[in-house]
Amino acid sequence: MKKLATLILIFTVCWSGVFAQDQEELFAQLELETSQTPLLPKRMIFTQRILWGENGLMRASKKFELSKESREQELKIRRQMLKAHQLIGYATLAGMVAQGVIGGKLYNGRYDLKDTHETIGNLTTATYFTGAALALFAPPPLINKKVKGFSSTKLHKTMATIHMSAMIATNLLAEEEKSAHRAAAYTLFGSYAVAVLSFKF
Amino acid sequence: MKKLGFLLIALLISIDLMAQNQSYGVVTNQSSIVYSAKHLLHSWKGVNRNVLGIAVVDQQKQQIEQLAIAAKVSEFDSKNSNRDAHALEVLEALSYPTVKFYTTAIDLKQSSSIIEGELTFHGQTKTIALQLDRSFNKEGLRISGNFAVIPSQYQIPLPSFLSVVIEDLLEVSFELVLQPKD
Repeated sequence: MKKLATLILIFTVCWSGVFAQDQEELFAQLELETSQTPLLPKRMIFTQRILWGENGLMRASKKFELSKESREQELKIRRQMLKAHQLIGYATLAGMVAQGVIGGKLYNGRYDLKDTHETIGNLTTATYFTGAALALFAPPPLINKKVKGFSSTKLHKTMATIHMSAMIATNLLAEEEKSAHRAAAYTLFGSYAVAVLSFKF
Repeated sequence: MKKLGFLLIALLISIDLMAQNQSYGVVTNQSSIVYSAKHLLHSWKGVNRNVLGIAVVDQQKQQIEQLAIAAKVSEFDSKNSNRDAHALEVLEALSYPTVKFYTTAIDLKQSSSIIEGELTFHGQTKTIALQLDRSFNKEGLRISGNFAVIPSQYQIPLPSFLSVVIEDLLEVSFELVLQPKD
């Protein structure tokens, strides 16, 4: 009788075990593994693609061969570069404000400020292009979604196209066309301020 | 002969027990999970409309025996690609691509109650309590609820903007529709 009871017990447990699903099995049924997060986004800025694309220049180095581990490392580098981009952006904006004040005085006859204007101008140009390079050559994010309609990121990028052109024009026109130089500088300051201040986390 | 008789009875009992369980799958186009977050300057929401899940329901007892919900962190959309990309960095999405929730024994005869379950987020599993509303009929199962997540408890570094970190609180709400699986 004991033997029979044991037999029934073993049978029932085994039979139930065939159907019982534990937590892991349930999640396995959801087939999450089939859709892993891709290592690179579909869309990238061309400068990022040159350096960090699937066949980018950085991929020649063993340290940056395309893998989960290297991408995790790259994302940390990216965050540091973007933090620096942000801080340098504020310093550049401060430099532009100073240039506006000094440039205005120079335009009204304070020629003793010419050297100061040139020095701050060179510094602002240097920080501007350093900041731009940090954004343009940072490793790409994991995703780069196309958002419909307005977004602060879109405004930031549109303004970047304008202020980059205005920055080049401001420097090219520095020695010759005073009024054109001033117009380019104001365009630069306006578009740059909008780009910096409109950017949202 | 007697042994065989007992075995058959045990077999029938087991089959009967299993027959009462029915699996339900989340209908993705009718389900969503939303998180809300705050920064000193503004607040925002991220929505995931690609939620996956299974509920094993004991029809006779009117009880969800097991409920497993999973969502990819990369599927949350806050309408700001830069912010979503930043979120994936702090969540280390390549190592921890999904957020999962698992619970057992939910009485479907009640329409609302506070339940406990295991939330796995950023590779950390914690037991959480949440308000769960549900309705159950022949067509399917509808569950909704909300709960709070403290990112720092899941070893998630808080992202910052202008050197100010976001609030250490995510308010999560969900609305899930589940239908019987074939």
